[in-house]
Formats: sequence, structure tokens, C-alpha cells
Amino acid sequence: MKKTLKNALVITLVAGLCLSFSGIVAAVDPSYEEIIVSPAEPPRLSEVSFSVDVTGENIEEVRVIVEECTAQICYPDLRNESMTNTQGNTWEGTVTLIHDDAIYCTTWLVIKSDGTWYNFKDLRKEFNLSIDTGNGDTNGGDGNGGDGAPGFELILLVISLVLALFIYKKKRRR
Amino acid sequence: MNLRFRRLISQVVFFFSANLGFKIEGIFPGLKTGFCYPFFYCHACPSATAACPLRAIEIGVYEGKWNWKLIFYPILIISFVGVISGRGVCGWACPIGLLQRVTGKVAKKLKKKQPFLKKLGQHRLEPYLRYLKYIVFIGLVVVTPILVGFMFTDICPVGYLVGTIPISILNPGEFSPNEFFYIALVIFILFIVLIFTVERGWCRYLCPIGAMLAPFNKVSKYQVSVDKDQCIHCNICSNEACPMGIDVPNMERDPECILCGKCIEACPKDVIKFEGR
Repeated sequence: MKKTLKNALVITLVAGLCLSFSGIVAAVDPSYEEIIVSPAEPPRLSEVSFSVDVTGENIEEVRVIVEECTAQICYPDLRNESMTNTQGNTWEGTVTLIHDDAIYCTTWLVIKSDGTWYNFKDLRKEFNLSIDTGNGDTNGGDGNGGDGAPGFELILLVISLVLALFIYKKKRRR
Repeated sequence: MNLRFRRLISQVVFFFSANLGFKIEGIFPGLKTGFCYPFFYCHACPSATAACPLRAIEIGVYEGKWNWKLIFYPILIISFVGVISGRGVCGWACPIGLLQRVTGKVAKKLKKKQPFLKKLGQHRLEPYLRYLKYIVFIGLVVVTPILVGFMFTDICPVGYLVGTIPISILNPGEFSPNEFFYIALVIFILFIVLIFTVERGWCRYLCPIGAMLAPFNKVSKYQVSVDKDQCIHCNICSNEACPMGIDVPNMERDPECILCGKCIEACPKDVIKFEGR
């Protein structure tokens, strides 16, 4: 009985030490798993919402950084917006995209913990901007369509041109 | 009006129609449509009128998301033009075809001066290199975006040519390169070397849109046909004219044919012609 108690005490001590050590580590290094972007593929120039669970102690400030890119180059004017702690570890923020020719964006966090800023550029996440063929808001589009047809009307134009060409050729043969 | 001039007009018209997205403050708002190009062009171009069909497919399949609208939209557009004219789009509409029309002349001269290039074009493995474009299309446009999130358009040399370079020139010092910039630069240099050394090198070996259109040559309404009974096998059409290096007298709805009509003009016996079903 005495031996069992002694063992239990040792295990409790070791477990306590481990837990407190992990607590110290968490306090030193804030971290996050995944930034949730909403909508997942936003249109150009739209407002994008970001939500993330940040772990760590004494998180004072969380900022979301968004970089807009086109082809193989990115704009240097990074969007840097403050996030608010909505509940528990969850932080939320919004960013309005400003470039009308961007194709995709990358985003990451900068976290202030215990007076120190941590930049998580290495954990950056990429998200594409929408090529929505249904509302005229493609990567080639301007977002002002919204009539449910842009693009398709051009197909009709092509079909009518081809038909006109056939009719013209038939008439010429006669 | 001869065929060569008609084709030039068509290519120039399509080039301008692909670039009506530029804005002139107070004069022209810029035409941006929800259309996908039925040929190889990039929506990163500052004056792009439409979207890149490859990027649409890539985002449609990106990391297994399966956005069917984005997958089928460009496929249906390309199928539509493919059923009518097969790879005729490559010869008559594609702006990169227009570019290669210019570089092809240099490639032709180089081929005459450098026997090495001539040998390379006649190498027994050359026909197999033409399958590379199917590998590029299936591998880099469909498979890698699904499996690892890597997209061909991130390193596309045409994106570099009509997107990255003009944007950098129009906005000097306003950009920073992303992680694909230097890989794309190397690929762009190789692309330039290719199109200046092999006539229609991009269309022959690597163009993913060409890979999508090529099978339609087998069923398309329009094709180039040869009257084999009257052909004298002078091979002027193959050796002198065809930019795609096709054995024209023996071709039967060849997937490589871009319907440019150069063989029709070159044929001394007029036994090659456009044919509509």
C-alpha cells in the first residue's frame, strides 16, 4: 500500500513537472494551426474575413498580414490589420483587398505575446481569388456583372457568327 | 487576299480582342468579361479581357475541391472551338501562335544554318517529345494541383511574358518576387530559346491548350485533307512549309495540324485543301 502511494506520488510529480514545463513552452512560443479564410476564394477588391485559434499565454495582440499577388510577383503594400479576440482562443479580423489585378493572396499572422512580436511568415497560407464564371466576376472580370450570364453571351455570339458564316457560304454556292 | 494575309489579320484581331481589358481614364473603361480564353493567354496580363482556362481548371481541382463549374466551363469552351476547327485556334487565333509566327522565321533560318538543329528535328525520338504536352496538361494542370497544390500557371512562361514583365514595367519597383519568380524566369528563358530554335516549338512539345485541342482534330468539322492519288510526293509541304513538322502527304486528320494552310499554299499541284464535313 505504502509502495503504491509512493509510486502514485512520483508519477504525479513527474506529470506535474511535464505539464508545467509544457506550460512554460506555450507561454514562450505562441502558435496557431490554420487561418480560416471566408469566403474561401474571395473576389478581387472584396472584404475577406479571417478567423484563427491562437494558443499561448499573455497574447496581447494578433495582426493578420495579407499579401496580394499576380503571376510571379506580389505587391509590396501588405495589408496589416488588427484582429479581435472574440471568444477563448479565437481571433477574428477583416481585410479589404485593394488590387483589381491580383490572382491570389498569401496570409500569415504577427502575434504579440509578453511584449514580444512573433512573425509567422514561414506559416503563410495561400488562397486563390475567385474565377467565378457564374456572376461575371472572373479573374478576367470586373465584378460588376451579376446577371448570371457573362461569358456565355459571348458563346452565343460565337455560335451566331459561325451560323451566319454557314448561311453566307451556302447562299454563295447557290 | 491570300491565305497567309487572312491568317495574319485573324491573329491580329484575336490578339487585340484578347487585350481589351486596359483602362484609359475617362475614355475607355476596359472590357473585362467572364469568359475564358479558348487559346493560350494569361489573365495576369494587365490588359487581359478574359480568364486563363488552365488557371480555371487548376482552381477547380485545387486540393481536391472539385468545383465542377470551373472545371467544365473552360473544357466546354475549348471543346466547342475544337469540334468546329480542331487545332485551328492555334494557327488562326492564339496570340502565342502570333508570337511564334515571328520567332518561327528566325528558327527556320537557324535550322538552315545549324545542321545540329536540323538533325534534332529529324531525330527518331522527336515524335515522342510531342507527347510531353499531354504530360504537362495532365500532370501539372490536373494532377499536381489536386495532390500537392502546385499549379502550372504559377511557373507559366506565358504568364511571365504577358503578366509579370509588363506589370513590372508599368509599375517599376512596386513588386516583390514570390517563391515561383526565379523558377518561372528560368522556364521563360528556356521558352524563348525553344521558340527561337524550333519553329512552333511551344505548340509542338509543351502547350497544354494544344494538348486539349489536339484530339478534336480527329472529329472536327474543318480539316486539311490531301488527295493522295494526285500527290506527287515532292514533300515541299512537309519540308518547306509545315511549321509543325508534319508528314503532310501521309497525314490523316493529324492531331498536330494547326490548320495554318501553309501546305495548301506551298503545294504545286493544289492537291491539299481545307475540307468541311
